[in-house]
Amino acid sequence: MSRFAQPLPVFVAAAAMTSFGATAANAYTAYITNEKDNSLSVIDTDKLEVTKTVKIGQRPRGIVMSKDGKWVIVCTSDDNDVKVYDAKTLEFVKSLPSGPDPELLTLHPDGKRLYIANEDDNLVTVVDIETSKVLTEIPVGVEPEGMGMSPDGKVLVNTSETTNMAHFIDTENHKTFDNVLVDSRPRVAMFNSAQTQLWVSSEVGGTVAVINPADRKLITKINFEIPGVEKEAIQPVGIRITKDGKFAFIALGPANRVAVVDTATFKVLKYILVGQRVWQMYFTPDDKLLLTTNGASNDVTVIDVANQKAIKSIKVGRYPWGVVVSPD
Amino acid sequence: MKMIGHVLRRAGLQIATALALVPFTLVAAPAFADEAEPQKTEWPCVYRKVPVLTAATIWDGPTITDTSTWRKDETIRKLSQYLVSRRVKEPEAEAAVKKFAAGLPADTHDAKLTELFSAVLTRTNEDRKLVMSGIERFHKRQLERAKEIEKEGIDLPPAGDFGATDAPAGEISQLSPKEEKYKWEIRTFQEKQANIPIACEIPQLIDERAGAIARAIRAEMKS
Repeated sequence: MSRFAQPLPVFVAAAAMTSFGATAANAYTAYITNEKDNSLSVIDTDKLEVTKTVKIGQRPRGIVMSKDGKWVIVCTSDDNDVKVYDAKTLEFVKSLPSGPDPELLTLHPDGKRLYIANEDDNLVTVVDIETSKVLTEIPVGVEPEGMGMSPDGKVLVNTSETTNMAHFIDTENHKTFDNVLVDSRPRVAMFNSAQTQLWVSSEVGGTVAVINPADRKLITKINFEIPGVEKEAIQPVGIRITKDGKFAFIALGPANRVAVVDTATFKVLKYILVGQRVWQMYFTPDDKLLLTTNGASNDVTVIDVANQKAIKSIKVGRYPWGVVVSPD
Repeated sequence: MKMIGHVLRRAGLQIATALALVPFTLVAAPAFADEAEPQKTEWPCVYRKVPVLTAATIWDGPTITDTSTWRKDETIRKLSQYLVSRRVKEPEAEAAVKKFAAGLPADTHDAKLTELFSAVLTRTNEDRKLVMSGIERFHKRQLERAKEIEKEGIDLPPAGDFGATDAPAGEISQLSPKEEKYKWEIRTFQEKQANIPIACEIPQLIDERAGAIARAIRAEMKS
């Protein structure tokens, strides 16, 4: 039976949930932005079902949570702002100034500074989420998108889709101190927890560059080949690396696969079949589950990280885009 | 006069911008980046063109090797046509798959469902090809038209000279027939240009539909 057939046959679902449930100590809450529906779907990661769907701003895409887990912060691109919602009640709290067409955002480890990529303005806007004040604007390449924050908070890496670069920005003085060329249309930048590798996905190039953050030299470039899948369909976007740093999961867009990569050898270990046009992903805090947003099939695939298997498909709103999971 | 000239100049700039930006967003990676991955200028959509939807992207069932036998089965031929029609709502398509599966004998149950998927995939790719080539032809015509309009704009008098006729002060001056034609050509061009993003959604909707049907068929299979 199909792994992503819906609903999963009762016995498979039960088996999957039993094996997973035996080690599932916490139920977290996942928040999914539905770009086309202007809504937010809330998923209970224990029950693996949608518990609530609420209308939010226009064209919601990038999403993060405040450090204390009290706020859900969403780029509402067509409203040209970032909106803050109470994570429990989902009530609107306030808008943050963001510049036009905000797409992706990342929160500094200090919990205050929010970095927002403005696709139309070629800027990264820095906002204090407590005072709602713009701290500064950083000029970057054309069509900024990916926002990777180093775990120590000292470096922000922004990717620009048209300039095909990863821009290294010092978060103390907010100046760009290095630029690294990557393949076409870089979408996401992600550091490993040890801060020894920076992974950058290139959607059109079909590759992932692994860069040494210390000297900004390319360590390797990863290519993907899936039997029976056209090369053009392999479009890497989302990247997530396990906390132990051993495995990277790469969302491959319309190839409808998530690649699992060994971070020591850079070999692709597996391609997991998920829903259609998989872009963004997020781990539960215990690293046991990985949730993927599948924009064309309007669902979220749940991957059992240890077994590297898709265990469930959950229907959400139209064009699910971003995903974040509560810290506790 | 100056206002009209400004409007025309502005419109002219929009044409130039459209001309410059459309191919730029698609192909203008710096020369040093990713030269192995050139993008065809005929493809105007923001996402990368995937010419063929292969079974492996939406199907984890038996390998699809036979793509023609289904044409001999009238039921599958008709059902696959019904399923790929986007006018048929998804729940109705799923119900049709269920009904078909329920009527299959046990010994050919999964083989016939695989055949049905093969038919859906073939029809989907026929539709995609038609739509994608249509989008490319449309975009090519727009590029050619933009070049023509740009040339006409260059041949018009400078902005300050527009309407610098004998019209008394305070009266609204008329555009010359040439200027009027130019203005309307720009407007038509821009309206057509606005249709491209809408057309670009169609291949994605076709893929989405094929994926939904594939899942519905797989859900009925025993293997």
